[in-house]
Amino acid sequence: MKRNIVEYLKESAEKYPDKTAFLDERRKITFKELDDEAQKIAALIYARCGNIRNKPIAVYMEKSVECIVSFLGIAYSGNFYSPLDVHSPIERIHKIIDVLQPAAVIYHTEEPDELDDCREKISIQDIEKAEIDISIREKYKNTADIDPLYVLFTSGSTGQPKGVVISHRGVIDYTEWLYDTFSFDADTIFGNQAPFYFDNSILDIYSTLRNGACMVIIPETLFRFPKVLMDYINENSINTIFWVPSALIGLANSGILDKIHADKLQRVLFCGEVMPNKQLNIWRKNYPDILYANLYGPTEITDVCSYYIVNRQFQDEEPLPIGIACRNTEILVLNDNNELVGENELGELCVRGTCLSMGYYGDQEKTSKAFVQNPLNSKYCDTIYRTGDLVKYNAYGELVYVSRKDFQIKHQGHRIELGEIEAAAGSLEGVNQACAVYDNCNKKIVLFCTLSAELTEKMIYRLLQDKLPQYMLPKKIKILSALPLNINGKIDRVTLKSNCM
Amino acid sequence: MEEYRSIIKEILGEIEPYEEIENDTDLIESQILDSLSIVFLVTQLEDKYNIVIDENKVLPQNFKSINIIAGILNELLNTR
Repeated sequence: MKRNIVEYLKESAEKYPDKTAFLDERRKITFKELDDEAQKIAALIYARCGNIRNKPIAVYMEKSVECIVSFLGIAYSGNFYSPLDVHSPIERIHKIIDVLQPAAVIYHTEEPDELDDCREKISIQDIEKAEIDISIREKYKNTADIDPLYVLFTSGSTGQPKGVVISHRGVIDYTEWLYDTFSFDADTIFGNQAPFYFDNSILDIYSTLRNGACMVIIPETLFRFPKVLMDYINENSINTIFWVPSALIGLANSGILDKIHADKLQRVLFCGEVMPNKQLNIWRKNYPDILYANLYGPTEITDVCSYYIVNRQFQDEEPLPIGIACRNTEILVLNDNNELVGENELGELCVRGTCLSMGYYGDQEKTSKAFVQNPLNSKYCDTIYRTGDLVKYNAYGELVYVSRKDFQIKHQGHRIELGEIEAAAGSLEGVNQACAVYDNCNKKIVLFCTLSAELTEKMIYRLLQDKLPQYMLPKKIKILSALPLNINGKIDRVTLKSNCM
Repeated sequence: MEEYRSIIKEILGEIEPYEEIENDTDLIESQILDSLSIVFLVTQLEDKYNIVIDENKVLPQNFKSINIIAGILNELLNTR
């Protein structure tokens, strides 16, 4: 078994030196060039930060081939990366930096003034000045599979994003399972949709490295223009896509699937939110003979822990199962008494296996709440991750997602804690209390506030723009004189929710 | 043209009630138009003017701002 993911890169650089590995709008890079440039990044890291190991390094740049070079360079140096969303408001970036305390940040061309508190800032342009020697070339061999590879930040209910730490081993375990299950090879051309700060991108990136495949970074703008997107898929001979359902739904609803055929398409995989059969059926009508798979999993278990390969017909209104556990992974569905559920009984989906994250970066308390001892075993150390997702088994013995246990939502594929929106709104001067709910029918975040100063909905929205990324901003704001309470004295979310629908 | 601009503004206002949208605001760069809202805008315009906006017209350069969308709309209605 591989010790670290750099070995994937080394093997592919050896086997397919001149084959294109990654490409975006501006450039493409071969496996050999990728290996060279990754070493140069590693050299820059040592030159600027000294001989560091297992330290976080942030990557702050638009999604591009250079991001991949940076990730692999950081891994090469024996450190771990954390991609930051350049479109996120600066206040949120600072919250992440505060937790991560990166040893360095790698940026593209313009030095980010907003990241002044970072110790070292490395421009990817400096790659030309880097000097590689034998000590750097061999450095990656010291990285063990339990060392961290990346930290991805996900929405936190108290307003502080949580950094999920994933090891090389988790990614290798996942990538090997993907290879066995979906038969990716050197002819596979991935059409990447997932942002790199979202762990769906792990499938595209590491399957490309492992199998000598090719990953096309599709420009984000194209997802808003169905015809342009379909043409782009054909021009680049993309044959495999792993997208968030929102992107697949968009194409299905636009009617374009009936008009333009993606001739090379072989596999359509999806994960990140519920995929409705209504839109999947439009895809299946147009591409009846290709592979469809519904993957499921939170960031905390290395992208995916269960899967369902679509193998029968579904009515539009039927739910699509999330299937069965991936290899080397066990799923326990536990009821409120921490017992395995019976037939048709609802329970929380819990996961055990190599895929488990090493916890939340710098947050022992939150880690120990979500990563707990397996309640079915008191004899030895056996950690499970509690997802907070409520599921049950169907008649086929497949898992079916039902709802959340808490206030986490999925909106356009983004995982959002309503608590983070409430914390941001509550911190505004003039806002007394804030409660956010999700209007499932209209797919809108709705914010209710009580005020202590004269504020308009528009003013609240403006202030929130400095605190929250675009996808977390409420599309409806309602100012109330008081928030309704239930008999326990808590904010009555049920009433609020019915009031906005 | 002024009528088209205000109609487009009105539809965008339904999607983004709190955003400050000027006639030349970049709707793509600012992320005001996402994949769902473009479909919404197109179908609203189609219903309102009883036209069909061909998907070959739904391109990033044609939806960059209210001014540009109004120009496209004008062109479509004149060649009808």
